[in-house]
Amino acid sequence: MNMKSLIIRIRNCLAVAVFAVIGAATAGAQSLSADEILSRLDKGQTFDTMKSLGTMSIADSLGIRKTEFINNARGKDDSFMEFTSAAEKGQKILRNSKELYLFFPESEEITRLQGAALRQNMAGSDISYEDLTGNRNRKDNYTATLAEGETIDGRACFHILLEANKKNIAYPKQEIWVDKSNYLPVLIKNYALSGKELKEIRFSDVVTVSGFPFSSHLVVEDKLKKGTRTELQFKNIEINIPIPAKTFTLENLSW
Amino acid sequence: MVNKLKNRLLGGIALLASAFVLPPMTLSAETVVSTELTLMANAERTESGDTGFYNLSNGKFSLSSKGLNEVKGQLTVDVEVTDTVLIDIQKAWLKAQLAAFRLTMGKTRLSWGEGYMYNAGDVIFGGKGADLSAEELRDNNAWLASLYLPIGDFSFIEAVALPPDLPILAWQQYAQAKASADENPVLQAEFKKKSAPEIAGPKQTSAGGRAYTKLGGLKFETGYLWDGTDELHKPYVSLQGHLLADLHASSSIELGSDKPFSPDTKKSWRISGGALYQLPLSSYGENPSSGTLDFRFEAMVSPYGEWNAETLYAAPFNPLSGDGNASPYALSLFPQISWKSDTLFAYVRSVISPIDASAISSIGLHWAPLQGFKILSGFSLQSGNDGDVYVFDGAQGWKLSLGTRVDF
Repeated sequence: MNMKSLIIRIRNCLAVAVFAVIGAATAGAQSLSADEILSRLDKGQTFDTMKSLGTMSIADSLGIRKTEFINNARGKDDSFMEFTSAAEKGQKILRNSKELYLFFPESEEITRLQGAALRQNMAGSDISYEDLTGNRNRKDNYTATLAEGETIDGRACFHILLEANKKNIAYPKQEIWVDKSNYLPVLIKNYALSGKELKEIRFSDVVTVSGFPFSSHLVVEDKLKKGTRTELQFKNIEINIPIPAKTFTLENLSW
Repeated sequence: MVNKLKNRLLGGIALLASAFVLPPMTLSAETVVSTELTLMANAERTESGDTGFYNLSNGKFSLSSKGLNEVKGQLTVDVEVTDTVLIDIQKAWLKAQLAAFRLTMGKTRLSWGEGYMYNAGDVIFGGKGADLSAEELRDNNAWLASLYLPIGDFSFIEAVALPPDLPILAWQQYAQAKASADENPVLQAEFKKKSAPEIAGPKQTSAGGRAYTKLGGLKFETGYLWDGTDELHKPYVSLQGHLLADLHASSSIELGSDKPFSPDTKKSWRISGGALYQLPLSSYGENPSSGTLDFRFEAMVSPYGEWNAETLYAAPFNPLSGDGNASPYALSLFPQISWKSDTLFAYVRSVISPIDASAISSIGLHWAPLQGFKILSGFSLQSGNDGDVYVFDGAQGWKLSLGTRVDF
């Protein structure tokens, strides 16, 4: 066997080996259950801490309104958000699993809300606080079924169907398309109990921060309001950084 | 006296001017400038029963600090324009984080107690003055100094002192009266009856404190204020919690310094309470809009107050003005339904005196079609009979407002 033939054989063997590894990985991924995929999805969206600057743009037939904010998050439930755009004039929101505190700087007033207030939308947008912070325990709140995989926006995805197994869940039914390569959500569709589509969220612009893949761009469409959409753009994202515990206190809220 | 007055006036003007002229105190500090212009056209029923029209313009200019982590400040000037120009320093405060506690000084607001319209725990401002056409009903401010000490994540204690105002206006009026008397001997006899205004003593300084904490699922707040203006001791207690709706209750009483347990003390006892139920509609029904429908109901009760209707006022009196209290009667009610979305704030609200069956009802729509631009509209109607507490503009007084607001 001459040298040229040897190189060709080695190259072919390497190719087979590479494809075998990829095939094994894919087969392994495809053998994951819906619950396992959800666990990886929830885990990938839960950090010890996260800080980011965000811009929320709400577009409708009359124009675009922008809101800017700084968001600090701790674990699954704690978040502190300060609005920096002129219209909101320094309003702040402190949220944990059981209560929501609003601070209005004009009146120096702290308002404490519980219950349904935790499901209200953020700054009048199509995005709820649960969309941003609290929605990381789908495995506990939903019964999941794995459907046929699909390609969404050029990304190979798992396709999961969810039905709520508890009351007082914001969306009784959901469909989630999860990127197979990094377990990030690519597309989420939320439905009413009747099956009518209520909201669609698309995730894009994946960045890697401290080793974590993160979707820095979200587009939310309220399917019941034609011609409106909300875009959320995160920048200056920091993950698992030390955030002083004092951040999530009334003292910081009223500062 | 006149020189002292002049010096103090000049000093005040210099202080105000320096806020606009001086450069930032450090290279890292920035100043954020914001402006709010409100232009309103109004029509209302006059005392004679005719319809009157007028415009009312308001400008609010704010300078806020930015970039300093441990110090912040704000200066807000409010300018109201009609046939004259009224200028008010609405806010002028600084906050400084000093080791374990926070110092606040200047003209600002402290919101003690709990309540949107009725708040018996608001012992600093007494629940006076409410604008039924606004999203936030109250924005009273006062010159004060406070120390805030956090105790845990959701608990703190706060001390406050509200010194009385320097009587510059009284001095100015006294000086003018003296100058007039010097020029016109006829006025001297009248002038001799006046005494020169003096700076108030320590007893006229209001001071107090409060403690705020959580007890289980309840927010618990209690506090006390010595009201130096009226020489009254004002303790209060306030609770907030959730059971199907957000609920709150507050209670306060006023104890005279000389006779703490007089009949007036019983009459001063007030209890306020309310419920707020919020219905976010983005997830309900087949055709909801994204927004929140709020149902709110509040009440103020003075158990030893006046429960019998009688004609109390011979002249028009607005109990919602800055000098008025909620109602001289023992019971007042405030129901409100409001809708809030990203572009709309709509409300129907009413202040009701069930004892004399009078009310002020207000309906409004604030629409923000563009960023920083709002169209404001509102209509209010007084119902009841002449002499009722909420019929201060004559029977069936009404007011219609239409205007715009821009923020930049």
